[in-house]
Amino acid sequence: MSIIDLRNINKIYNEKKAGTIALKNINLKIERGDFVAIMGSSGSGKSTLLNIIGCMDIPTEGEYYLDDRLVTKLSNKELSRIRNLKLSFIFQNFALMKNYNVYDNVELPLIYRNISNKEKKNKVITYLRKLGIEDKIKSKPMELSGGQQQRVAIARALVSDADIILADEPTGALDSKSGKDLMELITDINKQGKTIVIVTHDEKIASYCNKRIIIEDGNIK
Amino acid sequence: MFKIITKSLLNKKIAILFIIIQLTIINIAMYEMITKFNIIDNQKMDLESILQENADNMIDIEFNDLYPDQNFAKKVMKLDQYLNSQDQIEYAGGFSQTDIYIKELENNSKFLEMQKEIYKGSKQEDYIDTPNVMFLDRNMDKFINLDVVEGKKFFKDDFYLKNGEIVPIILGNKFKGILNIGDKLNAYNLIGSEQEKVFIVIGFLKENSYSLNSSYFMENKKVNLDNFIIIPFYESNYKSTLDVVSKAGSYFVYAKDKNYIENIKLNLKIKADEIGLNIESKTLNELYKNYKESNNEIHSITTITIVFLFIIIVFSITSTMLISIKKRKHELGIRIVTGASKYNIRKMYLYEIILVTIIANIISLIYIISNSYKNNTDFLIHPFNIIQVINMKSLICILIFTLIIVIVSSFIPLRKIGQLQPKELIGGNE
Repeated sequence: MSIIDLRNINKIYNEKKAGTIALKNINLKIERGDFVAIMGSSGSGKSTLLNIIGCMDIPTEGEYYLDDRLVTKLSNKELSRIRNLKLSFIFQNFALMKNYNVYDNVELPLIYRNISNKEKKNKVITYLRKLGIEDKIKSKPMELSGGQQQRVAIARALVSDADIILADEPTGALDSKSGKDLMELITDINKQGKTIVIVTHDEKIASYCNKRIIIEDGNIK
Repeated sequence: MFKIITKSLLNKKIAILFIIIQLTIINIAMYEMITKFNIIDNQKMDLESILQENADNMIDIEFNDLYPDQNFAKKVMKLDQYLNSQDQIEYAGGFSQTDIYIKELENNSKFLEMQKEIYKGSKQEDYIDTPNVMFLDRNMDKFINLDVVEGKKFFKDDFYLKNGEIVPIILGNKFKGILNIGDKLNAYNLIGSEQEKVFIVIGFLKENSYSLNSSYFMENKKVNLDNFIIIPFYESNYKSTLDVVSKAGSYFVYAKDKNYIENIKLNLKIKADEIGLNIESKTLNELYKNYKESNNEIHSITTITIVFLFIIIVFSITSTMLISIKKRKHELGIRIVTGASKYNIRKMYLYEIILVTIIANIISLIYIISNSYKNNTDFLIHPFNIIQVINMKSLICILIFTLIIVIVSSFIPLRKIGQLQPKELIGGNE
């Protein structure tokens, strides 16, 4: 059974006015444990697709089943819960809170769960250790290199123990060495059973994935 | 959550400090205004509870040229004799509040203990060896609530004693167990015609007997007589300039019928002019009305100030919250993406403003308590008692008022949070 199942998805922005079609009749199934690259040029609709998969946007038409649950009909509160438990995100700009230290950033998904502080702390430290940034626990994001910041973002993605990790151009702000290290890390995470969906236009990045989806003018090729 | 809130507040220190100052000012202004309203309303009830006679028949006489010289005292006594001889007047007289030296009480441990307990924490704590006394003119025992529960009341003759005669006194209820009926007391260092006087205890007042305050009774609190000694203005006192002047400070006329009031006031004016006294006479109701009117202007100004402050504070809080939402869009986006619901975000902002309000309320409360404490220890006879001194009604009002401020000022920001779209928030750097 597919963990992500998109059926006849359409997304139109400014529907009431002229309307811009971002996605056209998308049908897509991603299996548990897949490592998928969504590729396409700028404005092709790949980020819109990632937003819909990540429950950050809702389709204008169509059905989206996430782990067999129809998410297109869920309330905002239920969508928040799904984002917290089922999905993790890695962004090109790292999406770290600059006023908070590494610990606070990594802990973030856990503070919206009903778990003890001790358990939160254990989890955060475990992942910071795994990613080799335990010594940066009290550092602010601005005090870290790009590669270290992205590791913090990955630690935050992993700490929530979500089934699906969505990455939007994760190496975009990194040099080639850090980018390569990061992709090896993501590959390892995939090998541990996580489903990974990466939006990229970079062939090298896509080469790490076992499935490619090419999107052009809102259509899957 | 507390960590997030404090961090967020510290990120906008100046704005938050400004809001706390504004909230504190508005709280204190509200408290003062509501308390003043309460005092005005309660004052009339207090007056009526103390007075044994009909307030409509009472005339308060204010001596505008009150000065402690012999000439003035003679004029007052002349007027006093005139008033007490008028058919339309039931009686006229005054009362005065002071303290005196009494040999038997100076080193009386029970007395000192009682005084210490009453004045604990007040500035009067250092002067407990001299008891408070209330000098009363004849008939003034009708004017003040003198309910004698043990012993006997004053007789008419008690107000016409000659030099050397023993003066009967009535004691406040707390003197029970310290002194007994029949005890004689020697007063000395008296300011007036005599340097020494012998008193005899003839009775005790009912517990919680009250008198008007001899110092501007319309504004000041009534006086609990439990630790007071009530002494008649005996005849020999009339020869003392200071005694006459002090009773002139609180002087009243009681008309046999309220229909006589205008006529009495007219005759009073004529007689005072003839004697050479500059007086003003007003019924208690007129005094109350004037007192209320004189405060109306202050109330209007305070009310306008509060409304103005209310608008400013709501505007300040709303704009600070909106700016904060705008500035923290990226952070809020990250929170939403990682699982925070709109409810979580709203709660975060609401807790922030509640915390700020609590801080402002605590500062206001500290100010109100310390100010009340200062006023009480400076001016009032009674010891500091937080329940009596702090006006609970006013405190509840400011709590409700700050709650309204929180609700009104967070309405727009909380709606704004509801419109946040995660996909729009997450892009770009902070």
